[in-house]
Amino acid sequence: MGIGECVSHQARRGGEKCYDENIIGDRVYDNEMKRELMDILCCPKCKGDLELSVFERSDDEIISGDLYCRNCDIHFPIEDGIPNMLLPEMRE
Amino acid sequence: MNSIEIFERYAQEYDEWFDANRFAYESEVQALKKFVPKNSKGLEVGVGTGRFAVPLGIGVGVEPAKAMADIARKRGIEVYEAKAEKLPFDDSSFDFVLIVVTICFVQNPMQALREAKRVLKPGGYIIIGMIDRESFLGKLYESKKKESKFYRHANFYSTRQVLDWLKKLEFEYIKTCQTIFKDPKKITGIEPVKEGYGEGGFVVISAQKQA
Repeated sequence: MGIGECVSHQARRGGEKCYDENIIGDRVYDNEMKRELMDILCCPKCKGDLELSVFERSDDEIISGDLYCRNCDIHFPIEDGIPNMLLPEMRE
Repeated sequence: MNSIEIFERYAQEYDEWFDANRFAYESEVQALKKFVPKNSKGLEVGVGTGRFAVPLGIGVGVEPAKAMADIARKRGIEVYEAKAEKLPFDDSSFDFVLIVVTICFVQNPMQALREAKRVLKPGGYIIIGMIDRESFLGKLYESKKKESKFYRHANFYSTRQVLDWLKKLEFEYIKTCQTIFKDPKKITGIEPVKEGYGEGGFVVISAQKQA
């Protein structure tokens, strides 16, 4: 399991730029540890694969983006470099 | 307010405890170092502001309070906002999982331990640092619970209780050590680390997932 390719523009939020890249590709992640982390990240509910969209990046880090579980139809936003993997009912 | 909201609001205040109680903090780090494996891939569940992950060389953490997670991230930890009972990681992902003074704040400790076991590789270690409810410190904190905004929401458990849960989950090779033998406010140097539990306020448990 791991992160799939950017879900093109489906998870894109209004007006924000979405980079059409394969995030687990070498050209994005030079940092071995961070790439491995993306590989083991999964949906906290069904433990299935997530699809990543990147809105903003700084060096090798994703500052803002979205992780999407197609199976549960849940979006997990990445804000200030921190993926919010709480289920919607646990969020404020 | 629940415990997550408290940590959200008072993240800075929580973090300052470690500077104000430097010797207690350092004693706890020394005790954890006895069991935290070196050069392996670890996850801290309830990483807080990163006060334990950093000196123990742990690169990844989950934390449900965003204000705490923000501080941990600034300290170089890869942080995910998540709860101990629902970890966003595949099975068999980590060599060890560390849980320090977190079991007392989770809603469902058994489920948190079950999740920790799930993300551990076969033969991986769970390391738990906790305030022993049956120790002088556990009793002290329990009696002052209402005065502390953080501990007001805590459910302290005895070491025996946690060992019992670990056995139910079929963890093996269980070891314990302890430190903090007097009131943290009266500590004037780093406290010793002794084997076992029963005397110290802070207990560390290490147990192995079946290989």
